[in-house]
Amino acid sequence: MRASGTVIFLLNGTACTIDFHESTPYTPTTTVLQFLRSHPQLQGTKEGCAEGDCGACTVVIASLNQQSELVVEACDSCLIFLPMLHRKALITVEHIGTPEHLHPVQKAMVDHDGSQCGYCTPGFVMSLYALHHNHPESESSREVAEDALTGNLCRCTGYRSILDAALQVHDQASMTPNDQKQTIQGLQSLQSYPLSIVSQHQKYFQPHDLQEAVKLRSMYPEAVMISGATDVALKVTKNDEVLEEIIDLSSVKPLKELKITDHYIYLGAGLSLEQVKRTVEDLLPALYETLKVFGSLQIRNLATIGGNIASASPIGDTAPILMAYDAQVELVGPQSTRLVPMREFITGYRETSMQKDEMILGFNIPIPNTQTHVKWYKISKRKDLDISTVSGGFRLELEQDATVSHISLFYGGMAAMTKNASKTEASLLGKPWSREQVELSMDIIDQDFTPISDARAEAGGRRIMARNLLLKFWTDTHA
Amino acid sequence: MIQCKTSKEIGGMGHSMRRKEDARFIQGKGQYVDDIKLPEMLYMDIVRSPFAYAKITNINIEKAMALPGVLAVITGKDLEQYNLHWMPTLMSDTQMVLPVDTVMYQSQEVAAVIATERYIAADAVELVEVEYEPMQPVMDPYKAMEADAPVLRIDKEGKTDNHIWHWEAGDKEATDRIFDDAEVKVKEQMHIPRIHVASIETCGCVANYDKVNNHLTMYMTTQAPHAIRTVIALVAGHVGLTEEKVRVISPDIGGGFGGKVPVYPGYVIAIAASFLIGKPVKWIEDRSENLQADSFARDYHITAEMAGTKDGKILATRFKLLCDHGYTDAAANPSKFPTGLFSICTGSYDYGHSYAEADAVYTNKPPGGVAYRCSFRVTEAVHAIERITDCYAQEINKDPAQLRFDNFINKDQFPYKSALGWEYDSGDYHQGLQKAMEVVGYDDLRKEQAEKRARGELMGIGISTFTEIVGAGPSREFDILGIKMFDSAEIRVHPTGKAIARFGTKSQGQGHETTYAQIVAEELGIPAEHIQVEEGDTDTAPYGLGTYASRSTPTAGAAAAIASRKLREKAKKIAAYLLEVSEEDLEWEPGKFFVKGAPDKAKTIQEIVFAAYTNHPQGMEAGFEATHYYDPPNLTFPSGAYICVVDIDKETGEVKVRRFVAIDDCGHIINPMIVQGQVHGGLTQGLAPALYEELIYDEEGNILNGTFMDYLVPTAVESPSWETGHTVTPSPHHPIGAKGVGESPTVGAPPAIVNAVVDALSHLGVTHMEIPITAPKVWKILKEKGAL
Repeated sequence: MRASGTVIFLLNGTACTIDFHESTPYTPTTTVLQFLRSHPQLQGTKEGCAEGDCGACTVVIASLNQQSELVVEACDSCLIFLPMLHRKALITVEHIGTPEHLHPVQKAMVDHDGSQCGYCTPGFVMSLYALHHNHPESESSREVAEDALTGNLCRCTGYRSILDAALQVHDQASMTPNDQKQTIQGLQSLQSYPLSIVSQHQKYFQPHDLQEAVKLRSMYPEAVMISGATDVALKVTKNDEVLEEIIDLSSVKPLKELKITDHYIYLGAGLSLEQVKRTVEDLLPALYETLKVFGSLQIRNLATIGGNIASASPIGDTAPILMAYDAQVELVGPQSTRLVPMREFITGYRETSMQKDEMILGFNIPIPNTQTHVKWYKISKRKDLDISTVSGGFRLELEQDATVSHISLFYGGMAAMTKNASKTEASLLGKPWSREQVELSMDIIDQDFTPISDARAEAGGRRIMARNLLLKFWTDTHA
Repeated sequence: MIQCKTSKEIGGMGHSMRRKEDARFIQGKGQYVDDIKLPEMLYMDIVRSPFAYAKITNINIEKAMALPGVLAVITGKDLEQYNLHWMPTLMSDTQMVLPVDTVMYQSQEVAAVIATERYIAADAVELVEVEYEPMQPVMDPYKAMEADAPVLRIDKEGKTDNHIWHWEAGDKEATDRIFDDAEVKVKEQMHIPRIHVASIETCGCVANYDKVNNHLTMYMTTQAPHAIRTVIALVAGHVGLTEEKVRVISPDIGGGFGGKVPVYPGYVIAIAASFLIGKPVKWIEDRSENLQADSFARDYHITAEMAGTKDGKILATRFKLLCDHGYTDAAANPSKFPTGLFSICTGSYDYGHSYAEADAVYTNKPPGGVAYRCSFRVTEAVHAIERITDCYAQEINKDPAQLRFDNFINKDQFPYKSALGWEYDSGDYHQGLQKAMEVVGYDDLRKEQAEKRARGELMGIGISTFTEIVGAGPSREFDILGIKMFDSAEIRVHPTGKAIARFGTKSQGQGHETTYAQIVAEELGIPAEHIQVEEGDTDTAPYGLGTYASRSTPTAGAAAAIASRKLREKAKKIAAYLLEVSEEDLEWEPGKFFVKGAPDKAKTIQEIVFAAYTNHPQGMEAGFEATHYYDPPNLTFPSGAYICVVDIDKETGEVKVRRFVAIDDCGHIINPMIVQGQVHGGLTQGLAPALYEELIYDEEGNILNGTFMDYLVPTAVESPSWETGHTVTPSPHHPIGAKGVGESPTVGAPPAIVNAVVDALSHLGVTHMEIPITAPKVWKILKEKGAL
C-alpha cells in the first residue's frame, strides 16, 4: 500500500477526492463544517459554536468496521478534519428526503412541530437519522432519544416536540436496504491506502499499521497525535493555531482491539468512547456511568479512550475512574511495549509519563470481584455535555468485619491533575467503614488538595463537593 | 376543544395547521445571513479588547496589512474622519462604533479587518497590535453609584456621575402611609442576573454597497428591518445613504428573542467597509463574540416589599430597582418607558396602592438590558411580584394558592385599572389557577409533601399566577426613537384567488408564514395554503416596527384581520353585483357570499376575486388589494397559572423539576400547535435562568463563562416534560380576540420554580433563593440551616 496525499470519501453517495496542493482552498485541518459551508449547495449544515457544544453542524458519517458492517454515526462536523473522512461516507441533510418524499424523521419533525426558527433543525434531523438507523422503531425509548439529542441545542422548541418526533414509530428505517447496499458497495469501491499529506505549511499522516505509526511518531516527535480530534480541533477552531505535524491514528487497526477474558478487559486506545460505553455496561458499570454522561453522542462517537487519557486534562472524566479500576496503560515505542499503572501515568497538568517516541496502545482493566465497590461521581451544573466541576473515581474493599482493606479516592477538578486523596485514604485504611469514621476523614480531604476558583466553582465550593462525594460513596456502599 | 369556524381545507383560526416554513427548514434549505454569498464578497473579523477598561495608546496594523488577502484594517480614527465612530442607541444614548482612545468593556470592538477570506481575516485579527493602558473597571452597580466612583462616560459633556436615569410610577406618599400602618410587611432583596439569549444563529450581516447606483443592500440578522433602515438613513444620510438608497433584508433568522433588535457596531463597520471599498462585506460573529459582546438581558437588583393584613389581604407593594445597563443604555425599550413595562409589577391582584422607582447606572460591562425573550422588563416585574406574594403567604402562614384566590382581580372587574395606571383588558385568573391545581393534583401534592417532610425529604410546590403586558403599542404612548409602534399588513389577492400578504414584522421562528395565512384564511375563506406570507424586505413589505415583545399578533395580526375585512367589504359589493341583489341581502360564510334564504345562490371568494380583475362593477377600483396600519387602542394582557413541583436531593442540593403545569390564557388561539410550541420553548427559556444560566464577571471585568462550554443552556435532558393547557379569555379590543403568547412562559416560569424550591425549604426558615438555583447554593443553605 503506497501512501498518498489524496483524501477520498463518499459525499452524499458520490465519490469525492481532495488533494491538498497549493491551489486548493483547503488545508489538512480544514474542518468538515468549513468544507461544507464553502459549497453553496451544501449549506444546510450550520455553524452554531464551532466547538462541539451545540450540534447545529451535525452530520452522519458511515463507515465499514472490521467485520465489513456498516457503522452509521452522528458527529459534529466542526470537530472533524477533512482527512478524517478518508474512506468514509459523509451524509448531510441535503441527501435525505426530497420535497415530495420527506425522510421519515423529517416528516416526524413537521408533524410534531419540531422546528421553529429552523437553524438547529438540520442538525437535529441528522441526529434523528442516525438514531433511527441504530434503533429501529421498537427500541426507541425516551432515554435513548434523549441520549441521541443531548448534543443538539435548541433555543426555540423546549425539545419536547423534537423528542416526540424521535419517539414516533416509523414504518421505515432510516436507510432503505438498497441505500445500505449502495453505501457499503460505494465504501468498498474506495481505494485503500494510508494518507501522507504534505501541504505548504502542514504534514498530515494517517498510517494503517502500528509499525508505521510508531515510526512516524519517532520521526516527528513534536507531531500532534489525534484520533477523534475532539480536543485538538478546538486548538484550530478556537485558538487559530496552525498544527504543523499531525499523526492521525484513527486507521491503525491494532488500536481498535477489544478483548474480554474472565479477569480482564483490554480496550484498544482507538476505541471510541461510545464503543467503550456499549462494551462495559455489565462488566465495568462505573465506567459505563462515566461515559453515559460524557459529552454528547456526537462527541463520544469521535473521541477515543486513548485520546481522553493522553490529553491528561485535570478534569478529564475517564482518568479518575480508570485509576479506581486499577487499570494499566500499555505503551508502545520503537523497541518494545511496556505497562504503566494508570495511577502513575499522569504526572502533571496535561503531562504524562509517555516518552516522546511512545503512544498508548490500550488499557488493561482488571474486572473487580463482586466484593469490590467501584463508583464514579460527577458534579457539574448540567447533567450531560458539561465539564465536571469535581469528579471522583472511588474503589473500596472491605474485610469480613467491615473494616477497610483497600480504598482509592481519585479526584478530578481538585488539582492540576487527577490525584488521589492519599492522606484521606490512609485515615480510612484498617478503620471501620462507618459514617462516624467517614465524617472524621472528610475533614482530612482539605489537607490533600488546594483547589482553585474558576467560573465553575469557588475553591471552597470544590472542597465541600469533594467532602460530600466521599459521604455519598459511603451512603452508596455501606451495608 | 377549540371551535373552528372554517373547514380544515380553508385552515383558518384554531386549526393545528402544519407549518409552511418547515418545508425548507427540514431540508436545510433555509436562507440565513451566513448562507448568502455574493460575487467578490469580502469578509470582516473584529479585534476585541482583552480589558474591561483601558486607554488605547497605539494600534499598529502593519503586520496585519502585510498578510496576503488583507485589504483593510479599520480603526476608530478611520471612522472618525467620516463622523461614524459614534452611533445612537435605541434609547437615545450614544455608543462607540469603534473606540478612538478608550475601551469600556471586555470584548469591545477595537478594530476591524477586511480580507478576501473569512479565515484570513481571523488570522489578521491576531496580527493587529494594540497597546493598552488598563484601568480599574467599575463592575458593581452599587459601587458605580458611590460618590467617589470614577466617572465612566467622560465623553458626555458635564457628566459627573454614573447615573443614567431615574424613573418612578405610583403614588409614593399614599403607598408609604399604607406601609406605615400595615399589620404585615414583607421585604426581599432579589437579583435577576445578567443572561444571554444565545440564539443558535449568532448575529451577522452582508453589507453590499453598489457605488455605481449609490445603493446599499443590507442583509442582516434583525428583528426590526424597517426601523433599522430608518436608523441607517439617520446615521449615514450625511454620506449619501438616504432612506430610499437603503434596502434592509432580514432573511431567515435563527432565533432572536430580542437579541437581534439593537444595532451592533459590527453592522455599522461592515456598512462603512462596503461603502469605502465598494464590495460586499460579510460579518458573522462567532459564538464567543456573541456571548461576550452583545445582546445581554436583565442584571436588575430589586427590592420588593408587600404590605397586607394578617389574614391575607394585599394592600400595597413597593419596588426599588438598580439597573446595571453596562457602558451604554442600549436597551430596546419604548422611549417613554426607560425601564420598559416594569410597572406591570402590581400583578394579578386587586389592591389600590403601589410605588415603583428605578435608577439605571453605567458600569464596565457590555451594553445591557437588551432582552431575553422578554424585552420590556416584564420578567423582572413578574419575578418580583410573584416572589414577594409567596413571601407574604409564608409570613402569615397561608397557603399560597388560597392567598392568590383571595386577592385576584375578579373577571367581572375587567377592564381593570391597576394601581400603576394600566388598563388590563381581560382575564379570568380564578379559572386559570383552578385548572392548574386540578391538573397537577394540588391537594394530593400538599399531602405528599407533608409526609415527605416528616421523613426528612425535600419536596416543594411553587405557583406563579402572572399577568403579562404585550402588544406595543398604542402609538400615543409607544415609540422607539420617535417612530410609533404600530404595525402593518398588505394583502394582494391575484385573479385566481391566491394571495400574497406582506407584513412589517419579522418571524424568527414564531411561524408567521403559517399563522398570518390562517388569520387571512379565517377572514376571507381563501385556503391558508394559498396565502404566501412575506416579511423582512424593506423594499417590498409595508413599514412596521418588527417582531419582539410578543407584539406581532396583537399588532400585525390585527392588521391582517382588518385588511382582510376591508377586502371582504369589497367582495360583498362585487358579489352583490354578480348576483344582482343588494348588499343587505347577502350573508357571509367562510369562503363565499350567498343570498339570505337561498344558499345555492352564492359566489365563492375565488369567483369574486376573479371578477375584481375581469368583471368588476363600473366605477369600482379594479384589483383586490388592501393595506392596513394597525394602531392598537390598548395593550393585550395575557396571563397564566403555573405550578411547579420540585424534589431536592439533600446530599447534593440538586433540584429536579418533577412536574410543571402551565395553563396559559392568550385569548383566541390562531394555531394550537404553534402556541403549544411557543409555550414549550418559552418555559425552557424560563427554566434556564432559574436553574442554569448566568454570565459571571470577575472584579477585573473578565467574563468567566463566555463560551457554550461554560454558559450552559438546557439540553433535552434538563427540559421537563411540560404539561400545558389553556383558558380562553379573548381580548375585547383586538379584532380577533387574540393576545401575544411567546414570552408569557419565560416570564411566568422562573418565579414558579423559585417558589417551589423555597417552599421545599420553607420549614427551615428559608424565604428566598437567588437565581440561578444551583446545587452548591442549595447545599450551602441546607448546611447553614442545619438540615444535614
